[in-house]
Amino acid sequence: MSRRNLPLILGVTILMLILLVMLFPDMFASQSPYTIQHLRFLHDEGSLSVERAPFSPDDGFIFGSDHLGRDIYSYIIYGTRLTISLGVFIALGQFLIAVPIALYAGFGSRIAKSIIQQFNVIFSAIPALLIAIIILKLDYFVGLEKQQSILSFILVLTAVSWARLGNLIMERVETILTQPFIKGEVAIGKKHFRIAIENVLPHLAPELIVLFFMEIARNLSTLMQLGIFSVFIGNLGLINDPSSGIQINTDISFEPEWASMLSTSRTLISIAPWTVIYPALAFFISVLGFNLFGEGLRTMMQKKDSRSVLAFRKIITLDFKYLRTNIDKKSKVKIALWITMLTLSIGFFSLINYEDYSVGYASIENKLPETTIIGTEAAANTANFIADYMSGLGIEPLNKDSLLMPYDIGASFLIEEQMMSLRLESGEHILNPGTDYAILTSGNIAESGVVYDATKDDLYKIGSYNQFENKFLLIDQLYYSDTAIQHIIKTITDNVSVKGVILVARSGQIIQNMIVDADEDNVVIVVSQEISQTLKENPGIMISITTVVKPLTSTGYNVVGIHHGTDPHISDEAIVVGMSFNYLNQEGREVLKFNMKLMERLCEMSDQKRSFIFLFLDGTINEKQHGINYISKDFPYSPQKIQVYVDLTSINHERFGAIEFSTAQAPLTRQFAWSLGHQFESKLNQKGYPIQLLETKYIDGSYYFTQRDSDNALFWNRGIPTVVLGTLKADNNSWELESLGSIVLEVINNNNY
Amino acid sequence: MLEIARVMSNQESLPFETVIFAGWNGQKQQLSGSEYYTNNALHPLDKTTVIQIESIGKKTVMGLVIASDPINGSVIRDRIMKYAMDDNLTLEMRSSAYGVITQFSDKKVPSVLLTDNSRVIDAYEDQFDNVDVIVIDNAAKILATFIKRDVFKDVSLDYLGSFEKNLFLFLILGGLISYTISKGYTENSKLKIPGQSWEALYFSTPNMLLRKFYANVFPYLLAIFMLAVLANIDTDADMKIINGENVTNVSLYLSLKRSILFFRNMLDAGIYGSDSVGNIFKVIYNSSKLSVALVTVSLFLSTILGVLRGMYEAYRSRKSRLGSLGTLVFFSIPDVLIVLFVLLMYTGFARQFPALKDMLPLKNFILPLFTLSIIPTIYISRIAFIAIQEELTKDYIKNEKAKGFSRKKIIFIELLPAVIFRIVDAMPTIVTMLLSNMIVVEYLFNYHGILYFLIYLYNRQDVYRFVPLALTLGLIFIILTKSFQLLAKIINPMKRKEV
Repeated sequence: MSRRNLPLILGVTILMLILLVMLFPDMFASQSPYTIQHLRFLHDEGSLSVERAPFSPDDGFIFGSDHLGRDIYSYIIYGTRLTISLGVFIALGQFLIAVPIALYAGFGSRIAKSIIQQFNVIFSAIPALLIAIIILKLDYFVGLEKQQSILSFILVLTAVSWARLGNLIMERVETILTQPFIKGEVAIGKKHFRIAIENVLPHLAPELIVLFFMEIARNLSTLMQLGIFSVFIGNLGLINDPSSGIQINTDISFEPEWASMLSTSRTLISIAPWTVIYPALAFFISVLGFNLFGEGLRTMMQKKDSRSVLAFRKIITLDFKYLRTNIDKKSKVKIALWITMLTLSIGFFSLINYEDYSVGYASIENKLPETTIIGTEAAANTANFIADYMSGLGIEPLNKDSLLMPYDIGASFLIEEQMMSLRLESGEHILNPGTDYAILTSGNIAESGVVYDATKDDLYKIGSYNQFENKFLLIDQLYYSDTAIQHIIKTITDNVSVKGVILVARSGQIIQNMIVDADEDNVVIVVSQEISQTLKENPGIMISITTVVKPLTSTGYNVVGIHHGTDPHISDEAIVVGMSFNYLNQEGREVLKFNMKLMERLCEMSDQKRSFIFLFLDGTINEKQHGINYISKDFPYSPQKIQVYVDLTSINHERFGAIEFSTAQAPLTRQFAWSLGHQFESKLNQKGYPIQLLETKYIDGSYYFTQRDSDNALFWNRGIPTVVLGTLKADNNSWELESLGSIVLEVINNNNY
Repeated sequence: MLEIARVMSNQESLPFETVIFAGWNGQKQQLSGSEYYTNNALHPLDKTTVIQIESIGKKTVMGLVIASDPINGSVIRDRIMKYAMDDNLTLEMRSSAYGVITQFSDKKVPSVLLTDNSRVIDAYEDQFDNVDVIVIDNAAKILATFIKRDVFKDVSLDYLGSFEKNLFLFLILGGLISYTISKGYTENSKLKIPGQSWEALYFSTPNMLLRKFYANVFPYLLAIFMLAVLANIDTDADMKIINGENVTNVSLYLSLKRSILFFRNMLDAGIYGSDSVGNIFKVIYNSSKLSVALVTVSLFLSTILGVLRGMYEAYRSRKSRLGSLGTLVFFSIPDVLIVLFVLLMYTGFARQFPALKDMLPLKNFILPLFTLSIIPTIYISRIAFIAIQEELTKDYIKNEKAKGFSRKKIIFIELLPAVIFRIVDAMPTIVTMLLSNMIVVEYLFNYHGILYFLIYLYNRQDVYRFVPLALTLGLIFIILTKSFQLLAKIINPMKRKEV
């Protein structure tokens, strides 16, 4: 037997390993590369010590962790895909540019030749690396999204490095062209283009393939050098830190990729060498793999009686007939063996790699009432039903011994019926409740009267109250704060008897009144801006209103429970998931079933090292009675230990057209929450969900959600970072809860080690 | 505002974009005037950009401030800022916003606020006798420049002196003439145009000079100019998609202007005076000295070690290919890994022997040299190894063997010239590789050579120092490669014949 081609065998082995890691990273690393752990608590013979990231290598982190507390081993494993493909794509780009130009130059084009030479000289005299650093460090390239960033890396690195390759190929083409067989082709009158395609390229192909692998290795080294200068994919660069308002400069990457890990090398090499050495070794092994493979191929083809060159050429020209008949049996067996091994291992890994992220909420038994509104008996029943379900899942109460956390909402009334009409010249005009108007009163009333337009009056200085007597008073909320309006209403009703006050809604204000407080003894009507226009245009218009109300019990129920994590070090860290259980219709009931099943699936997930706290919130239909307001005042768990609040209370539709989403309250300083939000965002984008960001106001360095005050409760009252995820109806409601649920499961599961 | 409106309406041409002048009412009633506008805009808000002028002109203040939200408004803020800096007007940039512009930025309208640099606004001293006309004048100038460049799109090269204009004219005309003559010459050389044939024109001295200039000098001037443009692109260059449109904070007008001004001032030694890095000539001299020392010693060292190793390997392993596998493994070690390992060992060493660390010039020269030399050494040893393997099959070696020379003697003495020729031939490639690796080495070891300063100066946007230093680097590269090519011709009789 002839001597073994050791480089080829080693090269193929390394490359196959790399391929498998690229395809199935989760088989090689059990921990998610995204998860961030800043502090670590170590119990040692009764004493407790706290350690700050970067952690040195030990049982928890095989290769240690980086300065953010991310597991280096998993980061390397998950980074393989991006890093290696980047090297391959850059090599492809170089060949796509270099081969045609080099062929052109080889056939004697002076322009092509001088282009190659000029590029070559320029990028040698001022190193290509330096130019790549300068260009890729521009804010524009730093601020790109992942895909754009990959593309720009490929373009820039291709542009600065193709010429060297072009020079090499050009020289080879020139030598080939001097050979007799080409002269023969010229003699029979073949065009240059056909000679290039039919004679030169196939002749060059084996060498090009060898070069290709060598170039990949070279590109990987370049990426590594760029990493040292903080030039890498997905660099977050300058980030405005909303919790302090100060801009902090951080070169961290969110995407697992090897080069980014080297960016801290200058500062960390002396204190935490493992953060830098391991990624550098990963680079080394893959560079070695590609080099060995290239070298092995070259040796194989340079053997004196090698038929592999011919075989390669035939593969390039798609001449399979030749391959079938001319490769000897032994080689065929060898090739077949390699291919089978690769397929088998891919099949094996893809089989055991399957993690089920389906929710399957249809399976929940239907014992729920038709509607559930806070303060009703149905709500209490539903709360008990959920609590039983939680107990069945092994979820434990946080507060005393009960999963139910009752809270006092005060005496309140449910408005069962309401009606408002305008008497216009064209006749009686009945308005739509909920969109045109909402009546806030705690009594059964039936009134009609004339409207007095006070939108142009200065209500701080009222000259005479008599003009308001027995009329409905129209006030524009735009000019007064809420407190001022309370004050104005009180002053007016103290001095004169009015039939009611009509408030013009502020832009964006939700006109809604399912439940009213008992102390609302005045008749207050909120109308939309369009209706107010009609009222203003018809001075002295008559309106009629009627309401039927029903008293409610004064207790709301939040259902709160904890599912303990398994990791003794981090199990007291918790992820809070908030969901609503009030609903008005069939669709709402399905959503509740979805929520319950989602909770069940989260408890079943494979990685559950942190704890889950589930909040089923009452009163979500009405802002004022919203359960989150009550629970945020006295949260039953230490807010410092809560990593993130995932607010799913706005998931209200079984089929929906868009996602309502925001990570504005999960700033970078709260890295766990920030990372989770970022993953939600990229996952949603990846699946093509239309996303509508929640409107925010920037107040004192933090964002406030303007749409619903309740969205802000945990962040603004307790400092718990919040990610909001909800559903919206649109023209085309083709999205389903099931697929959204699997995203929630996958993202949370990826983060919960 | 009225004065700006008057000036704009007096222009001969119309602006490229519609300009709406608005004064907000209800400032003290929760900004109700502007609130109303955001809900009832006269022009679609997604095609609007807002410049809010507010509280300008108080006496005894520190100039003006331009503020915007960090996302949508930042592009227009940066542009206004850059024009103001170009006109030497004091303007401070802030990344926060309040008041009216938040109403717009909440609606995703790019908006900026131009205001006094004062912490106290709307105070009791805001009276007519407390107004500083210069501040108002500055504000107007800032806005006027922005409006001129970006709204009227006036990007004429009005800063060019007559010499520069003539130079450009000469370059363009000269190019055209030279091109026409050579075109005429190649197509019909004998054809006469008034009195002269194309051929005579083509071979006339002026045309030959012109052609030489365009072939040999012009490319370099162009390259320097491109380098200056590259260095003049701000590091905060950014491009965003705002309301579906691509907008950038890079003003090509300013980049071009700065590049041309760079050329104008390039030869004026006064501007190279002291700065954070000191006199540029000193910097060039010192850093080149360090870099050249590193490169040459490293080349020297790696050549000697590489040749010896290659020869030894060729001598020892007549047939074993394990040696070449080892070389390949070594060759695959990325330079970064080597640097990191050396740094790691150094920190370990420095911790163990703090006294020795201070005595030896380890980090200053020896470690960078050591790190830089490893890869060329492997490369050279590989060349030597291959050269010997190839030469060993040649007839003259067989002849020597027949004469009874030992293998040792043949490899170490007879083949030495052949190995040296090969290595000198490969030197330009090795120099390229060295310079590229030197970036990482100088950066990580804090070695103050040319490449270290290039990155340092670029980060500081110091074009006037960056470009000459980059040119010096190019010059060093050219001198090194050319001298090795010359050396190859001198020592290699085969090459001499080619000449």
